[in-house]
Amino acid sequence: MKFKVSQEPLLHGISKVAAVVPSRTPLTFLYNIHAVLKGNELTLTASDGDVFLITTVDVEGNDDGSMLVPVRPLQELLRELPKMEIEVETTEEQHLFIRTDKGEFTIPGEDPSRYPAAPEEKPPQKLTFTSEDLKAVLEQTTFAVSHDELRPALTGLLMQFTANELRSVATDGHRLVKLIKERPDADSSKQEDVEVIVPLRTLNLLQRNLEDTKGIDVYLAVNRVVFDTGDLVITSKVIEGKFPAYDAVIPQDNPNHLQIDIEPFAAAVKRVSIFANQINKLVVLGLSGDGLVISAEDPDSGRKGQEKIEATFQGEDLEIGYNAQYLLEALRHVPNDSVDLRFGSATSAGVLTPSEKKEGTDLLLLLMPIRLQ
Amino acid sequence: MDYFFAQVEVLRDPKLKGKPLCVGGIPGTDRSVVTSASYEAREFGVHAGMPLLEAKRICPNAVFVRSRGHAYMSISRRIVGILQEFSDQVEPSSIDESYIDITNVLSYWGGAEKIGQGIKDKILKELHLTCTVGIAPTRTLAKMATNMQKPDGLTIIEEDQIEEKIFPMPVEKVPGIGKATKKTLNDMGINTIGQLANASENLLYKRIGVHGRHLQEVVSGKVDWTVVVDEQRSDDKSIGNSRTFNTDTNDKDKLKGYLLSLVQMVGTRMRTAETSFRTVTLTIRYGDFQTVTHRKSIGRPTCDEDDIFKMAWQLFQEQYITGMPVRLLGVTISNLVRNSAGQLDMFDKESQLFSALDSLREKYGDSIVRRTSTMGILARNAKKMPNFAKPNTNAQKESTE
Repeated sequence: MKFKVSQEPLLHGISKVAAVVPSRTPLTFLYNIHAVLKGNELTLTASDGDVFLITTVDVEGNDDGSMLVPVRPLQELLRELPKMEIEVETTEEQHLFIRTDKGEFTIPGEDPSRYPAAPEEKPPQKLTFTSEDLKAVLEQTTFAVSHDELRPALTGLLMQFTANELRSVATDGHRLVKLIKERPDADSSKQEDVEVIVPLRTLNLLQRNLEDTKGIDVYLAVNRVVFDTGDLVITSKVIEGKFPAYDAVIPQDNPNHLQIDIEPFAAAVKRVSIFANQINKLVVLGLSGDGLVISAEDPDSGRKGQEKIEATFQGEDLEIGYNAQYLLEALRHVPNDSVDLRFGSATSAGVLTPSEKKEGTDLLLLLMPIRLQ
Repeated sequence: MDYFFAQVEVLRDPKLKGKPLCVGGIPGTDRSVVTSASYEAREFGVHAGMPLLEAKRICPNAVFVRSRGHAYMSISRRIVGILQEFSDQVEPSSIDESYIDITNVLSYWGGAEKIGQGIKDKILKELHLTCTVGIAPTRTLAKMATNMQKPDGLTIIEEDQIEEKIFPMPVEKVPGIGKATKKTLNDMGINTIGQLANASENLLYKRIGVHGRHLQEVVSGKVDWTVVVDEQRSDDKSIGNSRTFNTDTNDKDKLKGYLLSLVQMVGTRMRTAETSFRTVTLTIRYGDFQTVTHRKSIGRPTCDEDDIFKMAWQLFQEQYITGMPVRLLGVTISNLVRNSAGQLDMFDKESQLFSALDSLREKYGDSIVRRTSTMGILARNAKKMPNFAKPNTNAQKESTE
């Protein structure tokens, strides 16, 4: 394999895929980057075994071929080089040889055929999203994805694609987000309903690469999902296992209704939470016709605090406890000035929705309380 | 296993045989360390843990290859499989080292030497790998025995040879005696293992604590490492309950029932303390007072009582020497993490169930709700001992047993 290329686009391409290379793994071949030259197109692949990142770089090709070399020294070298033309070549011993106008660098490589092949064919089911839409989905949901390995199905985002909408659900058991986005331009005639649980790591990699793209093609299969940003292809395993029946835990008719402006509410919760027990971060919402009292108390240190805040409340007087961190995180993810909270009892799920619904979007958050002693 | 990774690599590429070989990575490419070195490389002073570049410097002709962890892992599993053919009491302590208790199979195989040689032969025949076997009355002495003749060795230390073979050795040969302990011992005038064995127990305890007393017992061949030392401390780092039975029993069903009721007590205390655990330790004291403890850990803390039982019962099945009468059972959870108390979980019916159970037990006593499997025990006991029959005395009677 032999080609000429500028330092900048090659570094750009390598850095894009290198993000997935694990820092510690017993599968040492994953420390490598896999490159294939065909004509003037250099295809770069890196993987952590579950997710493959693939991108292409335009080069001036001389001799088709492939290589498998450790990504770190290559990336470090390219980072240290000024903007310049370089020549890249592989030797018979599978070493990578890089020549600049003044320097020569050799990196011993391995047999490229040892690298696991990324599944080449894209799954048949294809959907297209704008970058903004997908970004919004990820920003509003991934925070609630669970890190609990004992519940593997919850460690990813459930994405349910139907004829005219995308439903995304994330939960860790303590809170849940359900976001429905309509897809008005979807061609519903060739659309089959399909759902996948996408691992958080894949979503984080995707999120990082949504900046300079317009549209994203999503290809779906039962065991695999492919995101194609045009610039980068992310092929990922999906999480096997059954996502819990989330609709069953969302209360339909919580009778006690609080409407409140998010900003002053969040600010007050933050202040009061300073006085909360640092382990469970319990703040208590005292709800009555007079409005809302937020209070917290830490018996260990004797600290306590409370704040009164104006709000519209309809329903029975109620005291309900929440983890301040969960409450604040939920409020932060409501893209509106004001929020509707609907409560059942002190031990059942509270439901948060934005007071004004955004066109084509339906967002619901659910928060489990802390049992008050 | 002798220079395990390096040996496996030689097996894969016979050209490497007889050459100084370092497994771990390629110097200059990988910024890693040697994980295994062949004896040819060791002659140059290369040892596991040495940075690759350092190894390359002192042994320029060495061949370097990358580790292939998964390959070693699968061979390691096959080795454990071979060991298990000789005795079911096998404890892999690392990828290339296992302990095997042959006490109960000695006569079946025709003695220690036959077992040791048998293991070596079988591993050589099936996997083409050599190993070193040390056989001794306790695991620490066995480990020391393997260190006496390497590679491809077989060393047997009988109980009556401890004084002759072990006692003259310097104390630092004992696994578990590091630089600091060695210095303390030497300062006390204890230089050999024999001197350690005969030192004043109180003095050792004063200078080194429990560890010192324990070391003395270990080198005298009196106890095993697995003996209870820290597990029965009652600080807030662990929650444990143990129970001595009035009569020793080897009835597995009965023991399972006792285990369950112990787990129940530990579970209630765990919930009261609002903690989760990662480690479960099981203690079995046999009728002859031989006491063994074994532990199991999971990656993520859990506060599920069922998990305590699952782990404890698994340990019991792995470790219990069938037929041996048991005098005491103990269950301890440790690696405790405080729960964020009271946080409800939308998918967790169990946590709600258990908190309901606890409030019932608090109100009406432990016997108000019990697992059906512990009821079986009581029912059987009731047949034998009529005074167990009254249901409201069950709780008291059971806790005395």
